[in-house]
Amino acid sequence: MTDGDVAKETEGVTGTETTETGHAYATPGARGLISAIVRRELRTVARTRTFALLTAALAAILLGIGWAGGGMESGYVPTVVDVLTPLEVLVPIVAVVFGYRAILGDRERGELEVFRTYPISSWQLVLGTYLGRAIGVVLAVTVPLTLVFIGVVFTETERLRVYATHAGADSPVLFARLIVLAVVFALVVLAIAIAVSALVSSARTGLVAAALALLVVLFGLDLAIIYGFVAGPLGEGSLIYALPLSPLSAFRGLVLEKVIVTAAGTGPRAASPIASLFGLAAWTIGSLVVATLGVEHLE
Amino acid sequence: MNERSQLVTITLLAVVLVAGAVGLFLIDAGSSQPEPVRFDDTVTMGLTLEDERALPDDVDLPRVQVFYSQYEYVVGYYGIEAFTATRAQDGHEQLFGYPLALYVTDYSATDLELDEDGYPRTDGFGGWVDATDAHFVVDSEARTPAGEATLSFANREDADAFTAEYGGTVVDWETVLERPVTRDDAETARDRVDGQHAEADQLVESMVPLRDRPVSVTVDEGQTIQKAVDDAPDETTVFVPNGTYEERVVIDRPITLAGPGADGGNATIDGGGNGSVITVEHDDVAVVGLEVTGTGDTLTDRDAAIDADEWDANVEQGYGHGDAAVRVINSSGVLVEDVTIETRANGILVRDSPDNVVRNVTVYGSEEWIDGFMGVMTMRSPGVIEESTFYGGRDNVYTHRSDGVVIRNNGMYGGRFGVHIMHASDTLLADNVVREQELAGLMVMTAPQRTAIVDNDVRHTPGGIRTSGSDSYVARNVLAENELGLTTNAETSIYEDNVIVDNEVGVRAAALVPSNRVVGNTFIGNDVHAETAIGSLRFWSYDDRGNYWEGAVGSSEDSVTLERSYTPTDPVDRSLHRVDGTPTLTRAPVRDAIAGLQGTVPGMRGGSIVDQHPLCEPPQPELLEAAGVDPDRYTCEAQT
Repeated sequence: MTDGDVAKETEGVTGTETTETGHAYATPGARGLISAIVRRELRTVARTRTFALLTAALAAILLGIGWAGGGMESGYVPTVVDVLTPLEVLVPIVAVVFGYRAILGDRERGELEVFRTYPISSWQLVLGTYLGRAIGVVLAVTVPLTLVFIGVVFTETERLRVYATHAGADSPVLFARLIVLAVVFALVVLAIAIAVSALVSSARTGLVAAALALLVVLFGLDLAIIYGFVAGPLGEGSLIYALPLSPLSAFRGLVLEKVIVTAAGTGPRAASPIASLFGLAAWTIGSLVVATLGVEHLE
Repeated sequence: MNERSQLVTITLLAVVLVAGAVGLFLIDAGSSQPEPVRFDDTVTMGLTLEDERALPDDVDLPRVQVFYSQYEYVVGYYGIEAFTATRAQDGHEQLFGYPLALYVTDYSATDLELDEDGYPRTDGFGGWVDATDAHFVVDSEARTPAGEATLSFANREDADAFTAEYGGTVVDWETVLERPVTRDDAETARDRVDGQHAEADQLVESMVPLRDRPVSVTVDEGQTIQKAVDDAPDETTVFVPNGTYEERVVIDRPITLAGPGADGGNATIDGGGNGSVITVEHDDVAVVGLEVTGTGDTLTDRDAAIDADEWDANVEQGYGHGDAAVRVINSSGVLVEDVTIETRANGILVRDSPDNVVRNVTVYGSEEWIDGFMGVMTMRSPGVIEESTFYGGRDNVYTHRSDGVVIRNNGMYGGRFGVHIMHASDTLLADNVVREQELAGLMVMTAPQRTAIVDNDVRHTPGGIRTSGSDSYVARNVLAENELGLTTNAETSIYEDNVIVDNEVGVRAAALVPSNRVVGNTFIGNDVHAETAIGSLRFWSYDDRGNYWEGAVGSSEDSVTLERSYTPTDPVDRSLHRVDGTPTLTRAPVRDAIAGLQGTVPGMRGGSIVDQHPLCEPPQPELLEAAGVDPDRYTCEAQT
């Protein structure tokens, strides 16, 4: 984010309310306040070229992997298999980049102080920021994956035409499920990033904290579950319910269970969808609550 | 737009998006049951070309067609047993996924009867029925060329009526799947090798008395061999002393015609360039120790009397009646040994003569293969061809409908094919040295079953060993400096412990249905170790053991296998043994990220080969040494 972008962000709440509504600070309701913040965040996202660049990079990487892995010419499910592991790494990176400066930026520029003079509560600020950036993250994940989807549609499979063929268990619906799950996963990590950005007070600590959060999401939580399974605290019966403690494993489990296993057949269950969804929801709500507390208490 | 309507719009949009996203998980992801297709359009398994051609038209074998969840081609099986046996293979479900739909022949709609062979005969194909809805008759008198047959009916009453006439029990599909599968497969071919060698030894041994027959007549100067043959009593030897005899001989009595060839002498029979020189028309004849020359040059006799009703009449016409130095017709237990032949057509032609032995024979054929014919041609004549040497001609050994023929310890130099197998199952090709054929070394055609190709050494050919059919065993062969070392066209077969070095392409996997076990083979110095054109992802490992690939990288904890998989069809992996820098490139995390899960839906993948457990060192060092490669350079320690 450039300094110019940062400066423009300040137009958000302070400027628009008067010009757009024509009312000088007519006491807006909670919804109005949140939507104003959402709009401010959206403008930030739209103006920050690095976000667009990040989306383009993600698209290039995913298309490259789909092509190099041979999945794209084979079908939807093979492509999902090819991009799954890269997605597990790339989606958290994208979400953290989108979120880690959100509230930290307001704090650095003293805008959090300004907000205190408005009738806006911490949770409204956090929710608005989250929703605004969420729209950006959703686009950053959806657009590249949709391009890959289109790639699969238009890549011809080499076949012997003399034999009868059929699609098997492959289906565009399965790829669409991957897109939805990737979006959900991105939103969860975004919430964690927002929480991090609410807890730190300087750009330097913000960057370190964001990197640390990434490491925890990418490696730490899975390592903890592996340790729990190997060392004993997690019984064999409870592993499938413990997996969602890591959002990464919850995401992977849902993709395996709802996209890949559908095609691959039998074997032990990959995940409990309900537990996974519950885990992802808990991480999101928990992170937003932490962010709210951070905004309130760390002034 | 005022704030309220804006809010309504956004809310509506959000609801639609979320509902759509949730809906994606509620709908059935397109695995609706496909309709049956024409059987001719399926990728077919379980029948030899001979059966397909030779069976009468109204024989309607039970068939299965399967739509696998992970495999884009519809697979057709002749015989329900062929399907259940394939299904019982290791890794079958991993490769193909589960059956989305499974159809079997419906005999309810036909006037089914069994013929004297137990083959089902009908007035026409009765259509398909979903296997889960069908009723199956097991343990009845019904048969297919492969053995016992399970027949399927849409209606229970028809199944009951069938059992009333032909015996058996009516069961459902689940029960059929649970029945133990007994079917001769590649392991049968493997386990047969030693026994087949022993049987061949026995047959050769049984010929020794023919060589020990007492000499009753010695051909005198000025006398013809034919006269001596006509004069000799049965079970005796006609001896041909040194010299050249310009005549053609017909042997129609059980005698031995012997020259001094084995003792360093030279008795030559010269046929004068017209027709066959020696013709054997009686059981238990032996032709030994002679040189034969002056054959005619007729390759195909258009006037030969042939039963035109036989399905292979055109093959017999084309290949079964050419001129030969020695011709054996309708005679069993014939021995041809220590004979040297120079021929413009066939060397030895054996037709309808089982249990013959051709041994220590040398055949000089034409310089250009197109001008000559076969070194040994066996037509409907299983026997043993061993320890012989062939130079030039068309095919050094050509065998047609000679099930169980043994071709071993021969030297084959030049010609079109070294060995050419047509319509012959259960054959054994062992310990042959094959060099410089124009088209291929050992050529198997026409989809036979249980071919065993072991311990051969094939070099300098456009195609070393080319397989066909199914349930075959190809092992311990050396394939060096060929354009293409080996093909794995024979399905549900085992290819193991072969040494494949310095070929342009080591192995080409061309079978559409990946059903082979390829393991323990050594790939060194090939431009391309292995390639595949079509079909799905194949796994070339079995029981956590794969093949040795020069260039494969990775560490080994047990000094047996590498922990990294190797993909010979991958553009980076395939260059590992030739291009500097590739060992670093292939270890890039992004490649690991892709490779990690790739085995998950192999049946859906384009044609590729993955060895998940590459070997750390070549498993056959002695063979490697025979191929001119120092095995010490490739040991596990030498590389890591």
